[in-house]
Amino acid sequence: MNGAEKTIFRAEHMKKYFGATHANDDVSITLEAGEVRGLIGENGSGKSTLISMIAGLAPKDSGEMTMNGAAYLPENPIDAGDHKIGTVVQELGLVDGLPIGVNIFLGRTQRFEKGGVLDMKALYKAAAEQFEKWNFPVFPVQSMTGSLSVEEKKIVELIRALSIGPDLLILDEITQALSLNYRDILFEVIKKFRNDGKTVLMVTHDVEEMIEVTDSITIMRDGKIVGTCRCDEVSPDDVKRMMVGRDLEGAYYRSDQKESFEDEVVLSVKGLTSDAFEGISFDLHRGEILGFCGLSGAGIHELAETLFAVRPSQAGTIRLTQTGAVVKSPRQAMLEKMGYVPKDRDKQALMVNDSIEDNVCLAAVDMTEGKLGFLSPKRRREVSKRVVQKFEVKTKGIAQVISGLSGGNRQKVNLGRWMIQDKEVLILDCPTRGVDVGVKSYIYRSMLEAKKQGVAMIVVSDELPELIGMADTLMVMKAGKLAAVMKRSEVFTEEKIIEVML
Amino acid sequence: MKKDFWTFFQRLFPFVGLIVIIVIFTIINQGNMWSATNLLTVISIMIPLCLGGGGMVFVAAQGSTDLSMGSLVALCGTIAGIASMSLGFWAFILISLGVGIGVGILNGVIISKCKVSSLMVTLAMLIALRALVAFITNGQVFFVDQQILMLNRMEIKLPIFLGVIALMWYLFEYTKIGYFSRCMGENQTVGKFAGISVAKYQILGFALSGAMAGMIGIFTVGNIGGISPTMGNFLELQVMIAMFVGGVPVTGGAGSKFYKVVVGALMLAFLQNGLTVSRVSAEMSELIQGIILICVVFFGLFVRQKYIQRQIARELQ
Repeated sequence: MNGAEKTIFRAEHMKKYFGATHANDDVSITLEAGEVRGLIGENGSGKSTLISMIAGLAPKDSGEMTMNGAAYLPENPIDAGDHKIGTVVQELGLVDGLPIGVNIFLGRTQRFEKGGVLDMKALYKAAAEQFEKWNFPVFPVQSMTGSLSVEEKKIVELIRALSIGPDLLILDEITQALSLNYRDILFEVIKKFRNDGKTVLMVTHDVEEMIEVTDSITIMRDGKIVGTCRCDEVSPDDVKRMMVGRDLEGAYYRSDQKESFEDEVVLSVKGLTSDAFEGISFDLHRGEILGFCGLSGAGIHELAETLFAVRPSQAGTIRLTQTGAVVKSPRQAMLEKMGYVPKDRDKQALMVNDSIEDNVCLAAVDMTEGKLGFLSPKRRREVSKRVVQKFEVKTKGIAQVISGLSGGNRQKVNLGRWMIQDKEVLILDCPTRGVDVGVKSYIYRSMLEAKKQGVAMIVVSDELPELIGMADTLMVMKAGKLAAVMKRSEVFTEEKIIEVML
Repeated sequence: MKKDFWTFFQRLFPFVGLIVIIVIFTIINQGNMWSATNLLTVISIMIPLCLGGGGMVFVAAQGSTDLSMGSLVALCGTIAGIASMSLGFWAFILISLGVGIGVGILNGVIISKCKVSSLMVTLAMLIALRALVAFITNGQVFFVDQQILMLNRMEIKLPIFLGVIALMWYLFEYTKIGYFSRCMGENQTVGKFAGISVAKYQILGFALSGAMAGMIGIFTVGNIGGISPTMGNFLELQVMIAMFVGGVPVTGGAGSKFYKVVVGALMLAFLQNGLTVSRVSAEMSELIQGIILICVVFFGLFVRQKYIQRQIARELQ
């Protein structure tokens, strides 16, 4: 902490209802200058609602907020920015059809106006300066935002929040979308905020990371604050217990320290090359969890897409050893008992404005098809209900539209629709992205169960602890090439892996 | 699951429109509409709208547009009609369907392989095919064999129509063709990532739309007893109006349902016929149709919006 403690932001008795739901029930929070505060809670515990109210995205129903000692009642995010509050929200909020530079100053372009015309040169220059100022690699600020990856878009949003020179920076689940190298820069930014006597409020589902980065953590459950604790006094397990309100059953990851899978090879990849990586070869065995990790630009996500043939390859083969078939199209891969959970749940995996039933049956279409191509409505309902029941999706029925589900429940639908089929190979790209610890441990348990039944899994992830905790074999990629292959019995540690990655 | 008002109304909405139109015109025309001859007229107006919608709904569900249908009807009728003079009745049927499917596939291939917007491609087709018809017929009207006129008899026309619609209904609601089309309309990227061959289903959708154009061509030639270069003029717009009035979302997707096409075609047929029976002038009739269309489309979007909001709110409870 920097000098005398001074309150920078205070919210008191905040309430917000959605219908009969108390999304926020009498929430009070006080943030000091120079403090890095973590906000944590299960999906649907009200974190995002609280942040929306502070950021001016949603009006409060009742309660008082003060910012820098004055009453604060934001009308919209721009107004919040004028009060020196910068926010990076969970859902991407950029206009794809505008240049990066314009997105950074969106709604605040007046200062570049010269006689009614925008001075684009000055705008682009100012945008590039913002990247430099915070030690980020400078993006091509004149090119369209739509051409960026999800991770790069997050960076642009972060730069936008930073560019207003905030006294309070709010980060809602940003680290989930970032790979390790960008995370390090972000942590430097957070340190700088602390040293300058400014405040950061961050949300993440990764308890260990949060304890490391923040000074104290506020825990929310069911729309209420259940407690605030100092990071040097709590263990991750304490925090998890407070979040869930009970002890988490069993271990989070698998407990054995030895790789365990059968000798039979189910998938054999030889010399796979595309514009993002080259010469990738490996064998996947029955019941094996094969992890892929790497920094951004290492090509791990592109590799996952190419393995399911969504993305074209330039050379090499993906062969299913049992049938001898070579994967050429996603449809064929599905028929050869492969399944794929893409990284971006809401843009690549699920039709968010469609029902659970339609989303389940899209992946499980071969289970529902009968003679003459007949998709039996009865079988469709049965399959959908099975996913909902088996994976404990919290919903009132299979006609529920996906956008009404929380992130964790969406991911359960997304994974469940592949896992109920008798697939032999599952490609999982960031399977626990944006879900809380409860759902996370549930997903890990499901994966281990599938492993026991002989399903081979390729897990691509930006979360090292997850890969260390789950994988039999770990492939570390660097700049599009395979840099190292590690076995579980050799004990992979974070330090060892990062050394290879960098 | 407790059904609330909007969930219920969302499903009911097209029927409400249909009933309102029928009731209004029954009152205005003091029941004149319900004579047997007039009902047959309504059905004859409805058949091409429903057939066209039954094919075009695949394209619409994908979020694409097929503007070429009217011109394609004329081309199918023209080529098949001329061919029938030397090749006979069955050649007439097969060639009309063949031309329709062929042009449909061509549409689909250009759109999927060259990644051009369907609006542009089919707009070009609309002009080009109409020009082709004018070139072939030289602006003249031809007469066809008596045998083809048989197709205009209601006892033959109606069963064929019902059979074709039943087939389309099955394909749209109960097979992958319809289901994947709706999924593509919801989110094409998701479809691709879940193994849908987007190009294949785009081509299939346009082929089915083309096949229905061929079907309408057959009935149109049977109806007028010959070939006229003005066959199918503005039919594509009428079909689209019928679909949208029935509640098929303009953006396609999961809200596309086959019964909405049928209800929409009935609604438009009753509306057009009702206005004629009420002796409204042709110009005024079109104006009224236009106004009603705007109201219905706006109201339909409003209802769906409410429905989705309600769905989300319910889950948060």
